[in-house]
Amino acid sequence: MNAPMITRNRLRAVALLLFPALALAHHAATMFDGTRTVTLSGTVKTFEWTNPHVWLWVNVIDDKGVVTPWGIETANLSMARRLGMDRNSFKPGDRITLTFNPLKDGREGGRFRKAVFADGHVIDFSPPGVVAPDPNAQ
Amino acid sequence: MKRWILTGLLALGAAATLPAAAATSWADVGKWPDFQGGLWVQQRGPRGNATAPAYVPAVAAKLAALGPIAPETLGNANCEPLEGPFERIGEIFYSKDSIFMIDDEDFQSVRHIHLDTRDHGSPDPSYFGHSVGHWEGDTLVVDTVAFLPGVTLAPKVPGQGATHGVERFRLIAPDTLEQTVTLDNPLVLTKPFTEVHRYKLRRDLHVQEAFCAQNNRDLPVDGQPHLDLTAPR
Repeated sequence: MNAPMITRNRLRAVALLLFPALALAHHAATMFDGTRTVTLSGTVKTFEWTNPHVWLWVNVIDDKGVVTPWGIETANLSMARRLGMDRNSFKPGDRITLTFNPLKDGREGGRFRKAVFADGHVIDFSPPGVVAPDPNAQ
Repeated sequence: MKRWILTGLLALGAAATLPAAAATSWADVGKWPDFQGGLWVQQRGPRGNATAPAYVPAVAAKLAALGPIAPETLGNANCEPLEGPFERIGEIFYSKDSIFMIDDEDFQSVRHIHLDTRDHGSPDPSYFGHSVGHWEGDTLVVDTVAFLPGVTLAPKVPGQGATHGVERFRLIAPDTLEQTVTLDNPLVLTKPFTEVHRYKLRRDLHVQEAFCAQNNRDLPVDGQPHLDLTAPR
């Protein structure tokens, strides 16, 4: 993966914003394109309720019928709970419409933003007022 | 360097004369402002009186020359808490002679704030340093030194073990905690730097296990950022 590119001005701004401590995150999110969101429909393959981050794997079928598992990183367990997710949020076979920030390197993966289930309920990682995973964070 | 020496001498003098803040009974503990009862969640928003930190010339030049940083190469990707303790509150617990802040974001971390002494003594350097605390009215004042050299003040700017932190914690509204952090480090800053963080208490959430080796897909490979996208079977 290419190193994320940020300008020096942005670096300075980030350094100021995050001083004195780096934002709490196991790793930064700059491998994801925070300027874009992608929406795909698919079926949950598995849900990894694990440290350090919770992962959602979704099987997506393309126009030719080929099934590809997409790996979607969500948040750490603590943050995921704060944002309304728990170990039972996704079950294999759930049909969802998934919105995420795609990986910059083009692989089949991204950072979770929102999932809409067939019954209409939603898990959304963008509530106001809480320090949530920031797709543009350093 | 003179400022650092003076700060140290003043701290030593104060430690020699100020009483420890430990409680002698649980009844006394019950009189402290109650920071317990759930997980403290940091709130988005402006960081109080945060201003640009004033770096010493060598550090300013290094920051200017760094260019793009691959954040995955920073400590957290290897489960190493190089950012230090100052935004790791999590859940707070009291004992008669200590306050513990246990956090569960990305990896388990414990801050031990000693109330039974005002003297740092000669502690082993550590990621979170050595903290002593006391109450000033309803405000918990925490003084922290003795960091490992690699603990940073900004991305790629290690504090070289010379960071001194003073935090003031107080409830500004029900279930709302304000943390004012002042950091000094004569090897990095030309003057102390202060910023303010606010937290809301989530009584429905509690600290949980957070050992990051369980499913770490973010480990660098050959020193390069890497995200393992091997799908589970």
